[in-house]
Amino acid sequence: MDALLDILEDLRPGEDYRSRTDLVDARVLDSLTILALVSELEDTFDISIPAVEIVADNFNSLAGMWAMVSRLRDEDL
Amino acid sequence: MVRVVRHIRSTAIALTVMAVAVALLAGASYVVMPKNNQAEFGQVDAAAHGVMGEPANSIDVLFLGDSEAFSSFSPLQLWGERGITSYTCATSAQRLSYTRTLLARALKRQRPRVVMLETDCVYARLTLGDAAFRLLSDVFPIFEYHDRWKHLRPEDIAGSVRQTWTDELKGFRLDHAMDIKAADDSSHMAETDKVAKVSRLNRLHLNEIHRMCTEHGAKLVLVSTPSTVNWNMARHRGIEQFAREMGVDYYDFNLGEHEVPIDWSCETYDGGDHLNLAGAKKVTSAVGALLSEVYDMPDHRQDAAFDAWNDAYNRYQQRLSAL
Amino acid sequence: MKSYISLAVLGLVLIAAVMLYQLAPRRMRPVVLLAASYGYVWMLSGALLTFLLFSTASIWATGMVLDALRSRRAAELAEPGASRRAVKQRYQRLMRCMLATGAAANLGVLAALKYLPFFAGLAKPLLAAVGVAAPTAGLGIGVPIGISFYTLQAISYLADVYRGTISADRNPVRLALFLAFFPQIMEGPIARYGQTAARLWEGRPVTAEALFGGSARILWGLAKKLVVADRVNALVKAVFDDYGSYDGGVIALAAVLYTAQLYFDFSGAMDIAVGAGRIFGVSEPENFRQPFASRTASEFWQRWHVTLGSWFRDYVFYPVSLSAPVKRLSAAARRALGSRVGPVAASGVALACVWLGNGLWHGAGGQYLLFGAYYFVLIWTGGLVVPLAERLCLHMGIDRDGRAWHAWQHLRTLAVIVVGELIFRAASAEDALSMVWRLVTTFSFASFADGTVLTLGMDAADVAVVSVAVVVLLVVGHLRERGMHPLRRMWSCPWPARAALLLALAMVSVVFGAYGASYVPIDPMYAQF
Repeated sequence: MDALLDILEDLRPGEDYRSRTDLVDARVLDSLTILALVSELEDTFDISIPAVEIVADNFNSLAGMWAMVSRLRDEDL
Repeated sequence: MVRVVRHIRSTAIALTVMAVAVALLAGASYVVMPKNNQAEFGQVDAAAHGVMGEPANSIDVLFLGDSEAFSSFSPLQLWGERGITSYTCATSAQRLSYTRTLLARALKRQRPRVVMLETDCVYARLTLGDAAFRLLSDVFPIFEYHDRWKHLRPEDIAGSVRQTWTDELKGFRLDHAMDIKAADDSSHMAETDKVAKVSRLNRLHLNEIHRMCTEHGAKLVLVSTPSTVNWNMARHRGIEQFAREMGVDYYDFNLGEHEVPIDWSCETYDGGDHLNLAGAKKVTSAVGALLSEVYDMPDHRQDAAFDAWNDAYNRYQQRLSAL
Repeated sequence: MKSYISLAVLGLVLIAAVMLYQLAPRRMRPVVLLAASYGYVWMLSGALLTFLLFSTASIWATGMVLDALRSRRAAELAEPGASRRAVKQRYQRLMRCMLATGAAANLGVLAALKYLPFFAGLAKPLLAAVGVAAPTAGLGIGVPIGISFYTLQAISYLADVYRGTISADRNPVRLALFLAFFPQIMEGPIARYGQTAARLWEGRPVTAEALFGGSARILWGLAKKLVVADRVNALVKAVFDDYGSYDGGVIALAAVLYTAQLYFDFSGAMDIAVGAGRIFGVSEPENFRQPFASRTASEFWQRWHVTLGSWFRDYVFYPVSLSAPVKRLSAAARRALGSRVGPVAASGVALACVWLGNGLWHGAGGQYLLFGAYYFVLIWTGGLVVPLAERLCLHMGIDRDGRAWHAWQHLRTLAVIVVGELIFRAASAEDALSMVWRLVTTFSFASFADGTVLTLGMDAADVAVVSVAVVVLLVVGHLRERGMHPLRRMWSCPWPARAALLLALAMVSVVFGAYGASYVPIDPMYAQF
């Protein structure tokens, strides 16, 4: 989860990623940031994120993102 | 039991709200109604509405129709030639829904013996929306006059609605009296088997107009003024058939025994669509002959009660000579 | 009268539908809604209703096939000794094929009905080179109401089924209702299956609160359309039809007024659609979110025609961006241009697809392509220059989080929006460019100073009405930005206050509506879709 936090801080510093649950809804993460995030996540965790996963639920919060990453890692195995 | 009470309460509230809505519409309608039938007071189509300012029961013939009517029928010429009192309640591109409304308004104070409808508007496309809007505006004038909020004056709220004004030309128009633009009449009234059908909505309105005339003791007469652009054999047949069904007289000035000989090289101002003054004079004379001979129209020239018409006629003559 | 007809028909259908809906048993209610919807389409488009039926049938069938393929894949994967990769690849190819077929069928109908003459015109030189004459007229059939909207909804359904976000709907009636629901079929909003289908099927009774809230919203939207949008139309039409006779100042005014007209008309139509949906207990997605509060062109498209923007984002932008070739391009760009500029540069591919689609979707004309290209260039280059802009501001001591900078961003974005709408409204791409040129080169305040602006179709009283309306909208918009919803708080007021609000809204439309003899009604702009 910390790796995830690092990636987020790197892409868009200064936001409170730990407690916010509206990162997509409040447009903190816009579509270009999400794309960059996706490519970083794919590289870091060796997963493949299809377009269907790019929904608000998966990216609104740190927990949501981590759940998605974990699920995709498990699916691939 | 509680549900029934709740339903009754809801229904009562709904009815109250609707009643308030009607009251608001009526009140707003009153405020925006022009307080006199003159253009300065916001009256729409003032010339046609001038009929409401004529003394009661003084008009014997009412002309209805669109621009064909107000460029062909001159009431003051009829007065000068035969002492017939008439009025032209015509508006541009009139739809039969509006014809019905104008007739209703005219019949409030007049008892014409003949109502002459120019047939061009019978083939004017009347949509359900137009007819519905007309009906709505007749009930609540706010819909027709809502724009008058821009020009409201104190008397609009306190004053009463009057009609005291009448048009100088009794609804006739001299805008293009002396203009000439020749028409090509080579195919005018060319023979054809086609019969132009009258739309269902127009039929409905025509029957209503007929009913209103009969109710008020007036004879409805259909006439077609000469026009190379608007009139043709198919339409002639269509009206002929419809007039037969409805049981009203029809006179077509474009052909046959009632043809008015129009010189299309100089008696139209827009290439055959409408007649200029020269053409209108011929048509009005023909109408006058018809009214006197067939419909026994009285001659009021010796009647002192109609002196105002003599004055109006004199002014008319002066105006014509100044053209 | 034409533009009022669709409104009038909608009103009649709505009233009839509400009454029948409430009286019907719960299970029949969706059928009532479907019948009302088909009746509505029939009254406005006649036999063209068949295309809607075709669309519905095609996505129902495609969805069923996709689901069948998915269960077969699951079955095969569960078998022992199965090569996961091979199975997945095979089924992915099959399902993609099905998706493409379904989407192509729907897009093909749309293209044939709406775009044939335009594409033929574009291809004329090519066709001529081959010796083929380009067909100048279309199929001569006409376009069913709402085809551009429901086609997008249909494709979103197929895409969602393909991705497994939803399972295919076995119930053709429910699917048909999702596609045809009459409040939204003509001008949107473009709803997703997951947003409205289930609710539509529930057949909840009409509650007094829903009736009040929905009616208030409808009357509010009606007032926006009648009082403002129709009022400025005379001037807008006069100037756009004959822009050569007016100086840049007047053209600028017409562009600003057109932007206002489009906003009031379209958002008013959305209010009516959402309000009508609300009466039946259906939450339609919002299409406008105070668009003029945007600080960038990109943000504007998240606040204006929101459902269209999100459709293109979810079904074009992300899929294209995450496709293998674009990912490779992106990686290469990142290596060549750095991790900030690289991805933005690579996103140009997906952005181009989005804006080509967005422009084309709006109409078969060069000005719409120009409109798409305009925003593509602005948004893409806007993203590319961010690092440069940040350095520049740092250098010049400008605080990018300060109010002065934000104000500058607001103004600049407003100008961008107005120019964009000028392009959109122009009669052709050439006219659009000429108008912009004229705007810039002959700009002057002369027409304002000598009062000619008040002779073009709007008098002083009209200006007053529009100004008041804009102020009211600004206040309401400001409240909504702060998260307050004035309408919802009204529900707790006693019934006379609520009734008074509805009556007042209705009377505003009756008295101040720009209808009748002295006004030029708008050709329903978004309803040519």
